[in-house]
Amino acid sequence: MYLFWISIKKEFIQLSRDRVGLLLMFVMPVLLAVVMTALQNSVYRMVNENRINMLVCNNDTSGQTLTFVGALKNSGMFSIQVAKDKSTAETEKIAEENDALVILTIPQGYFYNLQKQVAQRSAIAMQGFGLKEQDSAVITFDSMQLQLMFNPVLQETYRYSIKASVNGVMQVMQNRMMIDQLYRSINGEEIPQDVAQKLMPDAISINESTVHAGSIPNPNSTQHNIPAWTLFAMFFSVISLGSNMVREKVSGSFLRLKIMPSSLSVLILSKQVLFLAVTLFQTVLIFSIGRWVFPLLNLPALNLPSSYVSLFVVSFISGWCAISYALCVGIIAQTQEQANGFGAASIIILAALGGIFVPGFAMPELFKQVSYISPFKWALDGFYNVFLLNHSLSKIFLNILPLLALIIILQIIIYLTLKRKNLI
Amino acid sequence: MTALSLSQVSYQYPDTDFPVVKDVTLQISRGMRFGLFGPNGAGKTTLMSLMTGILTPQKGEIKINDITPSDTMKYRRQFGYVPQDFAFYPELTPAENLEFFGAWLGLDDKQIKQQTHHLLSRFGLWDVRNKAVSKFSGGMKRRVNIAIGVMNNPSVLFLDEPTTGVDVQSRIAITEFLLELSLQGTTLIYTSHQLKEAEALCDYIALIDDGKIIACNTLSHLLEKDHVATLEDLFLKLTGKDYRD
Repeated sequence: MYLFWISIKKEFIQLSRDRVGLLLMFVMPVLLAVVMTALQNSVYRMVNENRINMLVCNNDTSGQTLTFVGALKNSGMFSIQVAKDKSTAETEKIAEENDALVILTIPQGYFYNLQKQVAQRSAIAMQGFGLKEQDSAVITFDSMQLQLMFNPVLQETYRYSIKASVNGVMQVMQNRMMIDQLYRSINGEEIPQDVAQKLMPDAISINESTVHAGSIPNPNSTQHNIPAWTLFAMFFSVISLGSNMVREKVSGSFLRLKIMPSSLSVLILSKQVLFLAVTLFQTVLIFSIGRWVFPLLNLPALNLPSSYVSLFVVSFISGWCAISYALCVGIIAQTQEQANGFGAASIIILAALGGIFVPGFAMPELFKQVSYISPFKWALDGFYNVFLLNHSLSKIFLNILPLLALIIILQIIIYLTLKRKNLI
Repeated sequence: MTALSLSQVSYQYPDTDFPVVKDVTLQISRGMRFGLFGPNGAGKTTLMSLMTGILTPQKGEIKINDITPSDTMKYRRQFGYVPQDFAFYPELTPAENLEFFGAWLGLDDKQIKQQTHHLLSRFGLWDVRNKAVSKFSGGMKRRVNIAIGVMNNPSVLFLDEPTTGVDVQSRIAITEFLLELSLQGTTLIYTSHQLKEAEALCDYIALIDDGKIIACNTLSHLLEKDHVATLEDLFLKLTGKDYRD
């Protein structure tokens, strides 16, 4: 046991004096987590939270335009600016000045025309109900329409959403006008407000929830980036641990230890224990930054999962996998250049494939399939399951199983390589 | 009393056609200062690796204090090894290096502290015991390398070019230290290309060439037998002047 602790102490001293290694293992991933979260967060917010700038070019003089614009504002989708009685050139200039992505033009007399259409439909309905005699007058509808002009940068899906939203507001208004008209026709007076409220509830409520079974919901930028860059930090220990191994081999210290009356497995074990502790410390550090520092930077705070045991197990297995990989690289590499070059390049490629830089759900289909070869993907899915679905230990077993298998394979490679090189 | 014995030892590296060590037999007495010399590629390093257990001979037997390498841990406790390379951790201080290697040599905390104090003082490194070895001169690093090799007071000490690249002062200090060890009963097995230094240090010489021992006796006997004045003359007479690498 004394030898084990002395070996841990030696590894700790070496690591604490390896400034470049510490920078790569702690400072770089923290910076990456902050920068990437901030960048991705702006995209997420643009998609999820930002309102679309809309310029309403109002040529109608009726009071109903105010109701219409108010309803559009209340939809929560638009940031609206109204321009009255402007020419096309003036409208375009205002739109450009205000970064408006959509121009909605309300033609002159639009709501008067709409009211007329509603009155005609109401009359048809009354005749249909037998409340009014058949009218021989020909019913004609003027083809007066709202006009939407989109900025070319807006994608098709956005255009559909905008059209659907405007249509929805118009439908509600038309329905209200129809009810008002029918009531007036039947009762000969204006509809009381409380009756109108009962007939036209403000909104149809829809319960939203996330589908859990078989799929992982899309995380926000923090929930993706914090586990992602923690994993990256863990695997980037290949630079420090890999170099450490190569230096020991090249300097002859490994050989010197080999002929001393102790087992080299103690040295390998002490390296794994210390660096595993380092990976867990990285997890605590980066997760803490996500939880408590991110809100100070106006970034979403990391929501911690309910099962800390699951979180620990995923972190532990991911860390051990990273350390096994680093040791493997260090033992196989002949020089520090090989260990650093191959180690760093392989980690970056595996991280990219595993969805660290770009979340898996945003990848093309082919890359989604390819991502399954990367341990980053398995580990990241494990974290997603813990963070987003609050899965218990038994449910994340399928995520950590391939990581465990990889650890066993890497440990066997480490043993066989040491044996082949006559180092154990 | 025999400290180290080799009997008909042969070794051939995988994927080579000929053995690099051929039927070597040696008897080295306790307290002897034994020098093993030969041109590059003659088999010195391989023979040293076989004696220290880094390599296992395909034929023959090696014993240190009558213990064979099959009794691994006991065998390893019999000797110390000072490699030619700086085989330690430059990020660590000399005290930290000695503590680590001391533990690997099986010493307890108290023994480590005593030996660390003794050896660092003996090698003039006590004042810099808390400074990283990476900041040391070549001579200081050489002394740290030797101090690690003798931490466990071994009965046999293997030294592979222990004074390469050091200044005169460090070389004299190292030689004096090794002579002191020898007087205390430690058997020294020494290889080097510094033949003048070897003359001052070794009392028994073996010359190896092409994997075979071609001469083995006391220095004075060999010089007298071959009618030469120095070890270098003897070396050139027996191994020739042709390049070997």
